[in-house]
Amino acid sequence: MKNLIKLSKRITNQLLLVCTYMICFFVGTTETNAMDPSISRGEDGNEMAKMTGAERVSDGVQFSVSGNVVDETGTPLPGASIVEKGSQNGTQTDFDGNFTLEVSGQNAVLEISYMGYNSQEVALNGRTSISVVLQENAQALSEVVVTALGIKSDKRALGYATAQVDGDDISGVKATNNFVNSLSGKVAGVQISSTSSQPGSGTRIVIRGGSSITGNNQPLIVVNGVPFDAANSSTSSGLGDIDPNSIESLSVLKGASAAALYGSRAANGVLLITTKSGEFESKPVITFSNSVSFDRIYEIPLQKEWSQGFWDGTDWSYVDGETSFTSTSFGPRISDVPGAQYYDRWDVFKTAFTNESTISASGGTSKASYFVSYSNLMNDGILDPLKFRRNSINANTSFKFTPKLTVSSSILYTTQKNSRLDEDSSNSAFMNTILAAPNTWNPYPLYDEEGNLRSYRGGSRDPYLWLLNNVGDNNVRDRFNGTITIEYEIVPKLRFRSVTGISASSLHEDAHYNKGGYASVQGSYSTSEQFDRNIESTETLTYDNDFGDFSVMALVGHNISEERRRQVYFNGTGLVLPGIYNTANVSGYSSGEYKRMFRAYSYFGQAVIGYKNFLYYTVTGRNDWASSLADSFFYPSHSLGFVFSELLPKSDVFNYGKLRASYAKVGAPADPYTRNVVLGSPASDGVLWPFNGQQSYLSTTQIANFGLTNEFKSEVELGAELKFFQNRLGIDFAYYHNWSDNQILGEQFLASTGYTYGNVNIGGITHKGVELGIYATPIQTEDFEWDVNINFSKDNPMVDNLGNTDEPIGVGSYGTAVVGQPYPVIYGPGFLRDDQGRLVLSDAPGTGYGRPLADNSQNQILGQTVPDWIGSFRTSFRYKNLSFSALLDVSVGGYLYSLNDHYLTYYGMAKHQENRPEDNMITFDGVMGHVENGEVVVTSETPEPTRYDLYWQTVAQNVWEDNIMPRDYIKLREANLSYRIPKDMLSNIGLTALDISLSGRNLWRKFKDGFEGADPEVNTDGITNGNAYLGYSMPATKTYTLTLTAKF
Amino acid sequence: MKRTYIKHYTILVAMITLLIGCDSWMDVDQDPNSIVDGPLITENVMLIGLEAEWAALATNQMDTWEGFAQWLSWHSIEGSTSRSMDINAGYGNEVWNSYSISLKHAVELYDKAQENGNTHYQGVAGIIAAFHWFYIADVYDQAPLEDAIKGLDVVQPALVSQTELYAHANGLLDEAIGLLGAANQGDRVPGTDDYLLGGDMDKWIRYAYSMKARQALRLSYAPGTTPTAQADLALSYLQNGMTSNDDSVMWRHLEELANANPLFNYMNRAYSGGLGLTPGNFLIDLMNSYNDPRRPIMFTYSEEFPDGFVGLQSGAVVQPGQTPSHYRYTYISMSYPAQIMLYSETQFIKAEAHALKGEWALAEEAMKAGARADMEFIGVDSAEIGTYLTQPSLTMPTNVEDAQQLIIEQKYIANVFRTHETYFDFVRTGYPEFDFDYMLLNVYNTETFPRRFPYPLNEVERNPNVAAVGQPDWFAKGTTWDNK
Repeated sequence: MKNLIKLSKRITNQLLLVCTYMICFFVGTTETNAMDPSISRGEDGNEMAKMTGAERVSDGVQFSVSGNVVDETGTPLPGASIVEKGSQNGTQTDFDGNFTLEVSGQNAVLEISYMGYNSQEVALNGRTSISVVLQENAQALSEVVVTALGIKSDKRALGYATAQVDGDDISGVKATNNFVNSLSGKVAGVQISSTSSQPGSGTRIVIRGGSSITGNNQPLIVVNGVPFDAANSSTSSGLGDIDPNSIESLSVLKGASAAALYGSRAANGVLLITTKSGEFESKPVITFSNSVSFDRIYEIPLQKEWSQGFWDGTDWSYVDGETSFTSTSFGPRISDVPGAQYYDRWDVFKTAFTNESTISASGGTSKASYFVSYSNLMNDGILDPLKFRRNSINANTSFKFTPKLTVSSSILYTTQKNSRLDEDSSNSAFMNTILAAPNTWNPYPLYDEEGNLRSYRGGSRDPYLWLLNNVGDNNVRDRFNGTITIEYEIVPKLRFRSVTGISASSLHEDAHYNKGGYASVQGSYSTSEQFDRNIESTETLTYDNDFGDFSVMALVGHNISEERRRQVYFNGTGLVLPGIYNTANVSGYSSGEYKRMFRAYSYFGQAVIGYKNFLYYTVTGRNDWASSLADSFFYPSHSLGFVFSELLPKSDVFNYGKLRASYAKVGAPADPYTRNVVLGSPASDGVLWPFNGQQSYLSTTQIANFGLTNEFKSEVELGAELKFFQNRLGIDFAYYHNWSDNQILGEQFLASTGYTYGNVNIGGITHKGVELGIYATPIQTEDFEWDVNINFSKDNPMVDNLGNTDEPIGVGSYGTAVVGQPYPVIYGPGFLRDDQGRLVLSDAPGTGYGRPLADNSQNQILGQTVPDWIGSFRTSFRYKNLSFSALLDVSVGGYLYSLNDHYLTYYGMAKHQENRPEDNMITFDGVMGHVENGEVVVTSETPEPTRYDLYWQTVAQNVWEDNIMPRDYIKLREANLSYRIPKDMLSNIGLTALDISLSGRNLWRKFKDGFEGADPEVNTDGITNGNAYLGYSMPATKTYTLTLTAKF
Repeated sequence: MKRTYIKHYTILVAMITLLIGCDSWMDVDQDPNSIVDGPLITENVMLIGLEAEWAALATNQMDTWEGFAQWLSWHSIEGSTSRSMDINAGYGNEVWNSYSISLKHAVELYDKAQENGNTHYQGVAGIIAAFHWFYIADVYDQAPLEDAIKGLDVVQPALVSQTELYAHANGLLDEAIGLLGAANQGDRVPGTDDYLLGGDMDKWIRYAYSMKARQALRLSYAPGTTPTAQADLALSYLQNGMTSNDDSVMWRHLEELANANPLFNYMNRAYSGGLGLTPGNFLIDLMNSYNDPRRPIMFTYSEEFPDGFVGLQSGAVVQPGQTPSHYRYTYISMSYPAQIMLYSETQFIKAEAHALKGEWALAEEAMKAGARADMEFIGVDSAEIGTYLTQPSLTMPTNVEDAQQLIIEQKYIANVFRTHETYFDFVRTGYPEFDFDYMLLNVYNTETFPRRFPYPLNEVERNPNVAAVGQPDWFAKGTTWDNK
């Protein structure tokens, strides 16, 4: 394999060299000749302007014709061929489907052709400007997709899988977090999971299982050609800065080959987002859309039978939480306690309300086009403190300064405001205290008659009602994004393009905790400000031509980028006055600042060689230099597309068939400063630095590594696209096998080495997977249409090696990489079992007698966290103006660790503890025994009973195995009913279109038996790679939305 | 035509210039905010931080394992304790982790001071390191020494025996006593950065001797020696040991939240129907039996007996009207010091050493000096001290076991929420005679608490040298010196 890679590297290098020479050749010689007309045109530009406006010119004089080529839907066709009939004179359309051609006379005839479309002949008859609409050739079925660097390519030429999602599919069914949630189930191989049901939360996106063991596995997001700093965390996300209503389309570059032109940033795939723009020569259209949404919670299952209390040795003993206290709910049955009653904790939740309004205007003249939109979202969440606000402005314009020069700009400004509650296991986390509260304890009133805060237990947890008004987080996010794109046709077939973007964003965060609670009597207030500025510029030269049976598209380019960050934070302790959250109102504080700078540049090239419209070979290469690394790295790719149906006789049954094969190597960069050896503050509990006017710095527990390199991922991808019955049935299949090595791992060192971790290049991970997309249109008549989409994907991630010692490595959120195991697994304490796999129950006399023992000798593999497969089924019906669609999302397999279960079983509140033995004795299925000299000794085959409550409070607290739950789900992710008011009814009121739709998200769901909790899809820690942690998440919600869209 | 050429070559030159310029443009991978080791990081910058880390480790009473303070009856919690009673291999790991924190920093300060010839810093760092080596030896028995703290050079350190660890630590103390007794060789001496002992080298020397005495007595029942031999050693060291409460080694926390003793956080939690840490029943019963005048300073009165003190069985539910005593906020206050070694302890060591030698009068005198020192330290009225010390129950019995029990019980009372010595004394001598059934609801083990610390799981899994020794049964037997 290594030799193969070396060979491919050499071939790539040589091909790129050839490409560069070719372009230099054209720039240096051919091009200068070809540029003559352009210079002369510049000189007599005035005359030309007159001529363009003229209706007729005299015969026999060369003159210029310009025009525009679009498909039936009005989408520009880039690269369409325009040839003057009977001559070699010709040109191609640019990115926007425009062309200019010098022809021999006013009556010249132009032949216009485009792959996959029926060719047309157009007689000029003296016109200087023409518009051509090409009809799609059903046999050829061409499809234009956006590929890396925003290059629009004919899909048939690609040797790798791509997927494109329309903007309407993203904004159609509202998701309050961000647009990515709406992608769920729409692209095979892309796993989307929400991090919280609180609006404004981040979203975890993983394509083909990700490539990195401990690094970031989120894909690169590119908006209008410029990488977009997604700043995606669980509590706040830059993804929310993108207004879903402004998205025109979204391309997913799943594999390494598709993303290869992004080099060291491509390892996790790419999401390419194109925002809406106006069309040249189109009437102004004003669109107004308003939607109102309602969210209702799904209750989290808890036991509802048993009261607060404890086992007093002979019986369940009731504790009222008023005169005596306990944290546990091992009291008698509620019905057996006089005066005790069940209090419904879920009453505190309300129906959330969201109002979203968007207004946009778009249109264009022959020289300029525009799209401007403003969008406002207001959400009041399921609890009073939860709020989310978003205001977003998009302005995209395009100017044609000359027929050869187009300058476009897009501007985005978004501000998000979010008020949240913490979702963690702290003693002041709302979900922690609400779930653990006994059924029989009345949370009202908050204070007793003496004015003391009431608590059902001996303090240290805050009553959840108190938390609502006294604890919370706020964040405010502002982003300005500007992009300028310059496209210039240097000579026909040779184009220059420059895309430069700047993104400036600021993030304010604060967290307050009022005085007077139980978890922290003194209160606290902390705040931080973060400013990010990223600048990026990409320049490309593209050369396009046909040579007989061969077509060639060659590209060379350069990219340069800089990322800067400044951050200050302030953590204040001890509020002086209650209820005032201000840096001046704390009795002590620590503060600090953080700066970050990363720079990179690269050179890259691509050549696409086509042969007779059925065989396409693409080669790319990119060399990256990054400030965080000493060396530079080269990333090649090769891909082959073979449209074999071109070689078969034409058939009405089977109309298109293509095979794809590709190989690529991409990377993931090292973070800045990983090579720095820094000192830190002393690790001293109870001493804040500087102390007493003295500062101290000591070495940290991190080992520095000066020789760090990038992570690499190589991938082989095979695929097929098949289309049948005049495009009514299509199948897209992909198989991939990728292996990443040189992983940058925060290796955990043994503390006895003096260090506990360091970044090293070790370890590898392999993914093998399949993706299958099927679409079908079983019924298609003028009035009725039925479409079906099925997506299926399966990814098998395997950890190959983890360095010299192959030590398991924690990857966050209860996930661990273990060699020879799927990535990641839950790896932790399990129960002790004998060699026949039977539970070993303690034979030591005492309260532990008969209780399962923990296996203290080793951690155990307790399940993989990734699903076996994910899939979706989408169906849509349209009858005249009425349409209905539904999307089912399925995830099968995989496990998570529930911290909820860990604590709730201790308190006796878990749903599965409803059925508890009346005598508090339980007999486990196992054998009696113990451990002697490291070996299990079985002393009796007959299991003995043991105390039920103590089982949960002892060994079950130490053994993760007890809290592992299946994460399978099936969800009715989206349902949408919409009606388009017929046009003739609208003409009177000045509207051109009016749509009404009623939609729902997550209206129905089903989990596997054994799961108890808010939602198995949610990982409480956010976007971590482990992704197996369920702990104190807010309840999941179902959403109903009514949307009205009007066009003027 | 020419113009075009010029244009293109200009672009080419510009691109090449850019490429050449990239070298310095790219050289930004140094965090401008980070602090790196250099001439500015002098010994004084290191010492105060090291002392703070050391104090935090040495007085980590609430986290060593969840039930640590409950097993010692220093503290009780209301409701079930069963979780605190189940002690897995994760507990006590902070001692092992000091290899990468305070012990490493002591070694680094030692090395830096040695290099710079600042022999007083070297001596102080050596004393602090010695404390760590003893602690590691006492709880783990075998542990890395020469191989430790070598970074990537030795990723799986080999272990040495408890004896070797002791010898190394004693060697460091002997060296420090020599260095600190002589003039400093370099240009920098500890001053205000020595927050524990204010740069007083004589105090450091007295502490070094006292530590040697503490550790000598620790080996009283170790194989290959005798109690009297160890007692002689301890007594000889204490001739140069601490002389008054002024010599006590402790981090004085400040009366402000940010620099408060971590114990104070626990005072803000409700453990037994009211706010604050709650003493255990065994401790209060013992103090009640001596009518101890320290009680009103340390504890509130109980709800049931308004002029008495009541402790709580850990895990019990407090019944209405029976709220037990709590530690007073004025006692475990924000500025409650983190105590590493107290003068009073040296007197109890002296008392036990005399008792082991059958010198009963000297033993009683030393024991009473220890109790007096502690009472003076916490502010007991001198008349009450006198009354307390004259009670017949403090008369020294004339057999070793009873004498040892009395001395260690007095030592225990004077050590509440202070050092780990009560823990080691119980493992070594079996005193105080804790009644775990009485003290703890749902007790895990009625006979003993963990007698040593488990190795951290990752060491067992990844270091074959640790795996070869094996994970011990930490309830069954302590380290080598646990041999009474």
